Amino acid sequence: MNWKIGLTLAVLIAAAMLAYGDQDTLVRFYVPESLSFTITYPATTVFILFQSTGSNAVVNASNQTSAQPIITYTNTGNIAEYYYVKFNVSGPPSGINMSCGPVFASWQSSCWCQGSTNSPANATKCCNITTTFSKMNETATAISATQTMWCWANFTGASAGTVERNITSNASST
Amino acid sequence: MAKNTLLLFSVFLLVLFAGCAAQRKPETPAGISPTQPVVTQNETAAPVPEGTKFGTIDRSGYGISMEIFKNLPLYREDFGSLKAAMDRGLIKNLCNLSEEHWKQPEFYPNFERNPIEKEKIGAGLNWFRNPPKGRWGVVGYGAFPSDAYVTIVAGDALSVCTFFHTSWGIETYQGLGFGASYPAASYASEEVNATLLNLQNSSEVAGYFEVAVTPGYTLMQPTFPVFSKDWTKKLEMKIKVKPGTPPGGYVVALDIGKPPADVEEAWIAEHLAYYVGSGTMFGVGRPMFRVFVTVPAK
Repeated sequence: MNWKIGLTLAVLIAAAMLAYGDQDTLVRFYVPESLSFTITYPATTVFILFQSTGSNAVVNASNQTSAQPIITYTNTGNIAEYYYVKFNVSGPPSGINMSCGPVFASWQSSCWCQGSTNSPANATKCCNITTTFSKMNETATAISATQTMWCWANFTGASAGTVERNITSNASST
Repeated sequence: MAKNTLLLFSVFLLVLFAGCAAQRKPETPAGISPTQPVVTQNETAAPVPEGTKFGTIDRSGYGISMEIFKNLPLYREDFGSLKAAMDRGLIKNLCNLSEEHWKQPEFYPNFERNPIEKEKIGAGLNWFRNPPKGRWGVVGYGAFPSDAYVTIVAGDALSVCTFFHTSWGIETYQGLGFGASYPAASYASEEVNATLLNLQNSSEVAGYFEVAVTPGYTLMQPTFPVFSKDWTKKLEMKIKVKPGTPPGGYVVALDIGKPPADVEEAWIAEHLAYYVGSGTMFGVGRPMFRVFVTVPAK
């Protein structure tokens, strides 16, 4: 009887190993899909960053688009345009009120970059416009040609001295 | 009763094995090898039928100049077979693939054919046949494959690769830096109501992994009007799971940022208006490349 029990156990152990799956370090599989996008602009267009004016506690930054980006996306889903405007303020100030508009009007109150410090001295505003693609290889126009975008920040309690305006922006400007 | 069932099952297996072993080979006439066909007089053996061939790249029907491909390595005869295996997800070791394969635009979905509507030409080929008038491709890149699924035992490390490429129609040089991120939520697609694949606490998960991306930064080269030699790069992510990492599923993603400032300065000086920095204002709503890591229980 022992050999029968042994054979039965061997079969059951083999079945259990197959069901439990591979526990080694390995690549199981790659999903054979790709993800990519292409942005075109009118030929020889030059990017223009946000311009900044103003001094002390109030800084105004404005920019005007002069052309229109067209997006081609290889997949379906959403593609977003991100605009970052960052103000570095010496002092430091005790409060900040920062806003961008008008195309970002719906995000003015809560549009902060994920992970950015929401402290006055390193105020970073990140706004995005999302375009949804329902078909592969669909194209869509981004922000329209003549819209004006602006960002301003009002720093309260800033100490004497110059407010540094370090604008880091990838604004649509073409 | 259970004992009898096990006993019957074992006996069944034994009988099955015995039956297979006892199969007799068919008899063949004396003097004839069992592997040779028996050919009688006035008959000729039929030729060996032609097997299935996957072929290789054939650009003769593209209707575009072959100068477009002049900077690329020569493609190999087994390209078709390799691509079929890639399309089926059979290739597990991308890191060792020959660049003669992955530097060909045909390696990537959507160059030659639309992957969904296969009767249509792909976006890549269409860009050369019908380039947009009065516009130029300024920003664009992608990854193929875009998702990988791996198992890594806690304490072990594993390298996974993807091919990071300039998009079709791009005329600029794009400077990019690479790192790792741990997205809080990962979905099956970017569509509304897509299936949620993973949720994680990003800062906590970051403490479980050590990730090295090679190269750490790169200059993506143009794909228009001709393909540059380095229009696509093999990107390797070496992922180490720290000992003591709780078993479970995690997502490690490719993060795209800036190259080192001094390197970027040199690139700007060399390429001037044809240089585009990282931090493009566009994003596809998910990382270009994600690795779904399963850490098994010991």
